[in-house]
Order: sequence, then C-alpha cells, then structure tokens
Amino acid sequence: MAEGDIRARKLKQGRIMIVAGTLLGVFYVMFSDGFVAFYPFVNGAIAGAFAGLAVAVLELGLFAGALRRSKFGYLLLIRTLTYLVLLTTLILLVIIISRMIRLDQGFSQVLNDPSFHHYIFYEDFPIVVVYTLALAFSINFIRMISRKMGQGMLVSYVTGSYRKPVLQERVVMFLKLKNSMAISQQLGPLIFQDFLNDVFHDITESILAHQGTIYEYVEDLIVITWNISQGLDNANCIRCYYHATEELEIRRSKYYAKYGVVPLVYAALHAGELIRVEIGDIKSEIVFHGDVMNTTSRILDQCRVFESDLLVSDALLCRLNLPEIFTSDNKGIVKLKGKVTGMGVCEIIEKTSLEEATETQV
Amino acid sequence: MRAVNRTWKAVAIVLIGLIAGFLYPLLSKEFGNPYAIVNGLVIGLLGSLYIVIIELYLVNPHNRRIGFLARWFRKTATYTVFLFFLILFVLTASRSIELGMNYSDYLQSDHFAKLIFQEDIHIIFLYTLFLSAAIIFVNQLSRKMGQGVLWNFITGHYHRPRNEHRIFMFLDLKDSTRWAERLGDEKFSNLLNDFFYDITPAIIATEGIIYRYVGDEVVVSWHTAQGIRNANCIRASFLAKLAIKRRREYYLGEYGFVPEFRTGLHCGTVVVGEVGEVKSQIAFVGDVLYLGSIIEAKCKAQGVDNLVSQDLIREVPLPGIYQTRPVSSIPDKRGNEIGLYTVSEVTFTSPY
Repeated sequence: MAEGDIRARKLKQGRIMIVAGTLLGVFYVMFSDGFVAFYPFVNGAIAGAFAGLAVAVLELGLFAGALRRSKFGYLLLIRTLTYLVLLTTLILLVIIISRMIRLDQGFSQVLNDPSFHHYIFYEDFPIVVVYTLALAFSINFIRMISRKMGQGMLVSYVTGSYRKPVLQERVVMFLKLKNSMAISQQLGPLIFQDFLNDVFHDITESILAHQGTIYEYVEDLIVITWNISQGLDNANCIRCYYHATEELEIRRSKYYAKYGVVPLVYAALHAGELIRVEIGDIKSEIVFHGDVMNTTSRILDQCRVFESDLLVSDALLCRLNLPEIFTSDNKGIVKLKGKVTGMGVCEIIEKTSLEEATETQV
Repeated sequence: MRAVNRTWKAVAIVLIGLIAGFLYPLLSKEFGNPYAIVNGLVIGLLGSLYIVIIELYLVNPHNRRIGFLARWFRKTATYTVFLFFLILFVLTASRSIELGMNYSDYLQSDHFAKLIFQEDIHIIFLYTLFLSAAIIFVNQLSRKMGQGVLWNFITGHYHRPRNEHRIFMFLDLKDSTRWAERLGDEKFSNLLNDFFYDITPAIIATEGIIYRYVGDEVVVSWHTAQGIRNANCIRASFLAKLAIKRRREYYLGEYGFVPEFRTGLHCGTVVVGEVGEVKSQIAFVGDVLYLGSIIEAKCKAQGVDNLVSQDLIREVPLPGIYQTRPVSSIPDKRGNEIGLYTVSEVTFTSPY
C-alpha cells in the first residue's frame, strides 16, 4: 500500500500528459495546416507524444524530488529554462524533419542548407523562441503559485466560489506531531522549524495521493479536509494517516542522523457540516467555520488521554466502510465545551492478523 | 514579512513598463530600428506611469467589493483601451516626425491608413491585452495572498527560518459567541467579513501586515521599526475603532449592533519561516504569539479595550495624546511577571 498509491497516481498522471500532448500536436496541425495532407498529422502526433513524455518525465521525476523544496525564484528559473530548452529543441527537430520530408534531403543536408540558416537566424524562429519563453514562464509561474496557495485555492479565488458562505459536508483530520514541546526545546526554535518542514514535506504526497486537501498548518499541527465522498471512498481519510506514518517510518534513520529524534504523529478524525467562506480583503483566506473544527480539536486532545494514535468520531465511523485490516475500539463519550451531549469516539487499531478478526467475530 | 513599500512598487512597475516597451520591437522584427526602440521606451514609460498613478496614488482599492473575475475583466479592459490608444498616438506621432509631416496631415495620408489596415496594429493590440491581463492577474493574486507574501515566496527570503523581532496585535471581536448565536452562521460570517474589510485600511495606513484570521480574531504584525515609527502599532486600533464608528449606521441597520473589539499588543523575537510545500504559509512561531493572545484575553477580565505589554510600552515613544495606566500583569514562561498597561486618549474638557 505504501509505495503503490503514489506510483499509481504518478503513472496515471504520466499517461494523461502523453495523451494530452499527442492530442495537442494533432490539434495544432489541424488549425495551422487544415486537412490537406496526412503526413503533418503523423508529425504532429509524434512530436506531441514526445513532448508529453518529456513533460511527464520532468514533472513526475526530476521536478518531483528534492528540487521541489528549493526556493521559489530558483525553481521557477530552472523550470522555465528547462522547458525553454526542451520545447525549442523539439520545435527545431520538427522543423528539420518536416524539411527532410518536404525537400527530400538528409539530416545533414538540411543543417547545411542556407535557406534553413536564414530561417533560424533571420526569420520567425527567434520570435518563436521568445514566445516559448513567455509561455513557459507564465505556465510554470501559475502552476507553482497554485501549489503554494493550496489545492483548488487559486481557482476558488478567481471564480469567487466562496465569496458567499457555502455549507459543505467534509471529513476533517487534525494531525499533530508527538512530543513537540520536548523536541522543540531540544532542537531550538530555528532547527525545530526545519524539522517540522521536513515532516510536512514528507507527508504531503500521502495527503495528495489520498485526495486530502491541506487546509492549514498551525505550528506542529496540520489540518486536512476531504470532500465527504472522497474521504469515505476507499477509507481514504484512515489510509492517509497510516500512509503518512509509514512515510515517516521509512525515513527514520534520515531524521535520526539529522536531528537526533524521530517524528511520530497522532491524529483525530471527524466529519460534519462546515461553513466555507472567503474572508478578508487583503490576505484573503478561504476558511471553514463551524463546530466540527472545535470538536475535532477536542477529540485530538483525547488522543493524549487514551494514549491512542488515531481517534475517530462515531459520526464519521458509522459512515465509513472500514477496510478489513482495521478494527475499532470504543473509547466512550468525549465531553465537548459548551455542549450538553458529548461525542462518541473510537480508536482505530490495525489488526496483526486477519484470523484474530474472525475469532472476535465468532 | 516585509510589505513592499509604495515607492519601490512604483519603481518596479515603471521598470517593467520600460522592459516591456523595449522587448516589443524585438518581437516585431523591427530590432535595430532606433525609432521603434525609442517609441517602445516612451510607450513603456508613459503607460507604466499611468498605471502607477492610477493604482498606487489615486484609487483607493478598498472602495469597492467586487469579485475577482469582474475586477480583472474591468481593469484589463480599461488598461488595454488606454494603453492601446497611447501606443497608437506615440506610433503615429513618431511616424509623422520621421516623414517630416504635420500630425493632422499624417492622419489623413495614406501612410496612416496603411498603418491601421495593413501593419501589425492588431498584434500590438493583442500584446497590450495579454500583458495587462497578466500583470493585473498577478497583482490581484498577490493581494489575496497578503502583503509581501508572493514577493517573499519568490525571493525565498523565509525559505530557511529566521529570527525576527516583531510586534504583534491580537484584535478580537467583543461578545462574538453571543452575536454568532443571535445572527446565525451565515449572517455572522457576513458580519465578520464586513468587519475585517472595514478595519483593513487602518492596518495598512499604520504599516501593519495582516498575518492571519483566526475565527473572529485578526492577528496583525509589524517589523519593530515600522511599528514604533509614529507609534503605528498603538494608533492602529484607535484608527480601526474610528473606521468602525463611521460605519455605525450600516452595522446597526444590517446587524442590529455596532461591533466593538479588544486588542492585545506584545513584542519579541519570533521564528519566521515558510511552512509546508502545498498550501505554503509564511508562519510566525514563538512564545510571543501565545503571550499576545493571553494578553488580549486578559482585557475582558480587566474590563479594558486594550492591553499593551511593558516590553512594548518601553520601546514605543508615545505621542502626547495617549496616556498609559498600569492594569495588571501576566507571568511569562520563566515565571517573570510582565506588566500590562492600557492606553487611552487624553480626554479634554473645556468650559463654554
């Protein structure tokens, strides 16, 4: 489960990029040349597919690794230049190959052709390069900013979806670092920030792969939300927690070598109706208001009381289709501030063997 | 976080204008033609000056609440039309000089007709449209992200955490639980939005940076130097109070009451750093924040509207109109007592 989800997601994205590239190549030919000949379409499709493949390799391989943590300006520069080189090379190749076909020349013949030189240095080609640069820069800028702003935020701001408050049913997870006071004292405030950032970085992919949306970071706490159907589907909200802990477990030795401590996390899950609204004129935020947030925070406090790593409210559990390897242990009722009725919570436990499960059922 | 100041913004916009004006002849195959480059620079300069004057010095961006898309379209349209006619004018003027013709003669000549109908006038139009749309988009986005946030992301100033000495103000709506119950969720959310909207100019005028909204609370922060200058950090809450007072009729009519708030002010060293890779935030971390919110909460118990810690009072030279009164104290992490003061304006009474 650990590696599978992320790889499957990447492969799927890669396939989409290649198909999109191929289609764009064909469309481009359709708009520029019309349906005069068959060859340009093959050219377009092949060039498009290669471009898609290259983009997929860059996006999912090179740019998905450690580079993602570099400074924004630096990364923007690298990405823009890489794409500029990639795309101009591709365009150049397409021009050369189409000349080879059109003029029935060999590769080196085309390269030595004075009319080709003229085209490259004096005609449209420099303009093509500048446009490619502008395009590569804007697309990369928007993509990177959109990632910084959070999933779907840019679109919501632009369309103004939440300018009027909207009632939404969502799954909420509070995920917190264990023993953070002691760690922060041990490391000092600056190093502790680096440590936290490493932890957040390492579990980000787990959250994305399980359709979670990062809502906010509050010191050593991450608040993640799901659209209710995506959170329940495949028990994504539960799996996300385990996936994240595994991601941290894989990197235990790295953390120990770098900081002398190993991060452990605990979490609380709850679901219910929240009001989602865009607030503020400057530094706008799209926030959730509602009891669900307070309740989840209370449940998180109970994790310490019961010494449980993952507590789920009854309200969520009764709607969840718990995968077979998990079982739930009822922890009773948690009292909530200012409320007469409490909220039932259960601990989620991973079974050590499935036989044990059949025994308890019998 | 650093808010980029207005003069620098103006310089940046003019520079971008000049670069864009210089790049255009390069794109339009006129590279090497001195007229084209001079024209480009003149257009870039005039165009960007127009933008600077309109955006930074004339229009108060807080005067209207319209949606992102509506604002984007409206602005893009205005700018495109203005800039396009500016370009057309500069271009025709320079052509008429080049040809040694009187301007009005030139407009009636075949050269002008040819320029309009045969040359790249339409490309110029598209270029203007694209550029204004892009710049306005980024500008609006930057606003949404908060003062200086986009810029700090790009430069990576807080990519690694840093220590900074800063002033914090916690501004909290009074009786919010009661009003939330009475108004209902949706109406209360509208109230909060109106409230945040109305106090924003006061915070900007005093060089404060809105750090975050937490429920009905706004956390504002200053670089120590900027917060101390003109006693900005103290004046902010008084200005905000006035701003709300001026809108009292609206609040009374719409919600049945005029919102009041309490503020707690404290200063100290915090860690500032970019947090998270998706949904990144530039976060402040430190005891100062915790103590600040405690100080704010203490206002209610003491029955005052604002409390300022002694650490801050010591640093801010207060204008004569303000007077301070020691009120209480809170213990910090090491158990030392931090004295708290409330600041009020001197009341004047004069005989008739």
